[in-house]
Amino acid sequence: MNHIQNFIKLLNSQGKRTQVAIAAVCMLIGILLATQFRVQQTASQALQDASESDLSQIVSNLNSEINNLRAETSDLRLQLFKIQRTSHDSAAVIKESSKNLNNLKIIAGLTKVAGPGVRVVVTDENKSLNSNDLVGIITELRVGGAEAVSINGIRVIANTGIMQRGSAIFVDGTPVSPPYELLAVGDPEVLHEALVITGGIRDNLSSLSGVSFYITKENNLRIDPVASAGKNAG
Amino acid sequence: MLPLIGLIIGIVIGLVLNIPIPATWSKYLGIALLAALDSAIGGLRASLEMKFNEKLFFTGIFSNTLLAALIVFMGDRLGIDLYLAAVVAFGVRLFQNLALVRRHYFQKRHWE
Repeated sequence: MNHIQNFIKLLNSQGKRTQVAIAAVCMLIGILLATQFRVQQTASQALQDASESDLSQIVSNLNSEINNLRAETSDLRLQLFKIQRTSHDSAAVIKESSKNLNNLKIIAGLTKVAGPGVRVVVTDENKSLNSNDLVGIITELRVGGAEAVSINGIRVIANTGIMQRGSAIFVDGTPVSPPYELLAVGDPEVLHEALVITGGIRDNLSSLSGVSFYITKENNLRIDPVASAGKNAG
Repeated sequence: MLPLIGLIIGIVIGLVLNIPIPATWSKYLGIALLAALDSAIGGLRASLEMKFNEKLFFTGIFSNTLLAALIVFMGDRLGIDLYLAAVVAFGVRLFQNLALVRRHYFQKRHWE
């Protein structure tokens, strides 16, 4: 005990400054010790303490995990590829279908059709034309590639009835009277040619008294949908 | 007594602050710790021999720590465990100084 007291006495004899200097460094040592202790404890203890067989077990586990993940990656890639292909396919199908739908709507007369075409005015002063003659004109227009046809503002589609009752002609149940104005959307040149061809419908019908054709090519015709389209389309 | 108090305060500060240091730096931390310990024991010995010099003491700490860190860094870059050189150097000095301090403790003539 005497030794220690004398030793401390000797240390104290060096003055406060020496004591403080060494104490400061000791504090630094303390901080470093604590920090290092924490780092070693948290970071690497698990792996460093593990035995060799444990480590090899860990490595093989990680390897099998890597393999599993790789297999999963390729699976998912394949899936992605399939989905992309089917979505591409179905997009094409939808595009094709909507094109078909538009064509069918035009044919069924559900939509308004606009574009170049011909306007045909047929005068009939002596009522010498019957429904079959009108059907003939429409047929010629259809043969000429008309997308849509109307007669006196009534859209003519596949199931439009053109009937003769006595001297009156009914189109889709509505009576029409001369002069008949037919509109046809399509290639104006072809439609014109279809009507005026030698020995064609114009030549045949113009021989009747009071019947004459006035055909004009139009750049922008508009044909409204069939009257019942509102109901049917809904 | 002051150095012991300083050490305890330092440990408390370190534990409380819990400074986050990357695991890769722990080698540097260990070397710095060794350098500081060497300086502290060296300072103790110098004070017992009545030739303690503050300037020498503090410059010693910093130069030792920096050189040790440089050696560790070089070792990492070169792929050699060069930090062992610092560990051995500090370790040898530490034990020598500790032995001298022990000697002073038992040699009565210093304080009689």
